[in-house]
Amino acid sequence: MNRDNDKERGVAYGADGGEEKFESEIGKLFAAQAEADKKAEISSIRNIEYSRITGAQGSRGVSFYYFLSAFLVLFIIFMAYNISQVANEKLSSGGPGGYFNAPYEPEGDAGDNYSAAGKYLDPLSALAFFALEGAAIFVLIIILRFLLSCVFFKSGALNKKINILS
Amino acid sequence: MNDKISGDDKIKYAYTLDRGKGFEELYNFYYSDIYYFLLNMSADCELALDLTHDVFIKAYNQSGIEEFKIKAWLFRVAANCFYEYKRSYYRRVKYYINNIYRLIDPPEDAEIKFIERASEACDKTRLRESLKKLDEKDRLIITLRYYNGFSYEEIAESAGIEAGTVMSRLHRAKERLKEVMSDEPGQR
Repeated sequence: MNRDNDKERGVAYGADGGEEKFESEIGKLFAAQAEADKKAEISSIRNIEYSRITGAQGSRGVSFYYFLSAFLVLFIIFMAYNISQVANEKLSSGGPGGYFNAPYEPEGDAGDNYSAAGKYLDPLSALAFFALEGAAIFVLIIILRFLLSCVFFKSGALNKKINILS
Repeated sequence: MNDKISGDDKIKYAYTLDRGKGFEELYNFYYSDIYYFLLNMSADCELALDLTHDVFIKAYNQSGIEEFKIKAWLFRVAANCFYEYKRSYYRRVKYYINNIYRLIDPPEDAEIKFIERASEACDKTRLRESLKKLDEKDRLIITLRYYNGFSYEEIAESAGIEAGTVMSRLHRAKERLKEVMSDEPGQR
């Protein structure tokens, strides 16, 4: 794990006769870049990555994503189902003597009585609502990650990421 | 180049002895080349690390790799990983999820320090900023030729094009790089 391959990176000079000057300029620039890159000491990260690749045999922490995704999907379905159930129970019990806040509701108000009007809360719409909510939270987390990456890495990571996507 | 050829032979020999040893040999030999190639293509230290990771995962899972021209195969996979990333929303989302995951399981100090050092090295020459202004195909040819020191044949194998096309494309890429660099004061 200790052999460094950097020295083997060659730079081609002056292959096309007429443009030798520019060719050698490019060569020098790339050589300077290769020289600067050596200071990053890639061997430190290479060893970490090796254990990740041979140990995980998959993408970085990929099992975590599966568990997280499964959990989120189940959670969203569970919440949507429960809330729609509770809401329907409340609505179907109708006006006074209703499920939750019967004491606070005006008596005989058919306008607010969704059950009477046949407006049951559809579990599918509840599911769609929670899925949208989950997506919104996901986007917020990504934005948060961008901001944190700017603080932690101090390398203009945000700009670089936006540039590469454009 | 002879060193590389003997390097490929060594890797193939190690693969015939033991698959794990073969992969270790391949990994040690090509890791920095692939990483810097992807860094030149993407100009993003973290993204280059992620894509390098993916390239070696593919190499690790690839059966019969000892039968291939390993060097050309690896660089072709690396280039495809980069193109896929650029064109696939799934890959981008995966990259962002990876970054979110790092909030929960932060990268090791060595990784953070490496990214900082690599970013400093990029900022020093600004070469990668110029490369980024080139078309992806031009960037690929220029990088393979001048950074990785590939011959025309090797570029053709890695990019999956004819050797004659490499020459014309390299000429065009150099012209474009010349223009880009002349637009940037202090670059040349």
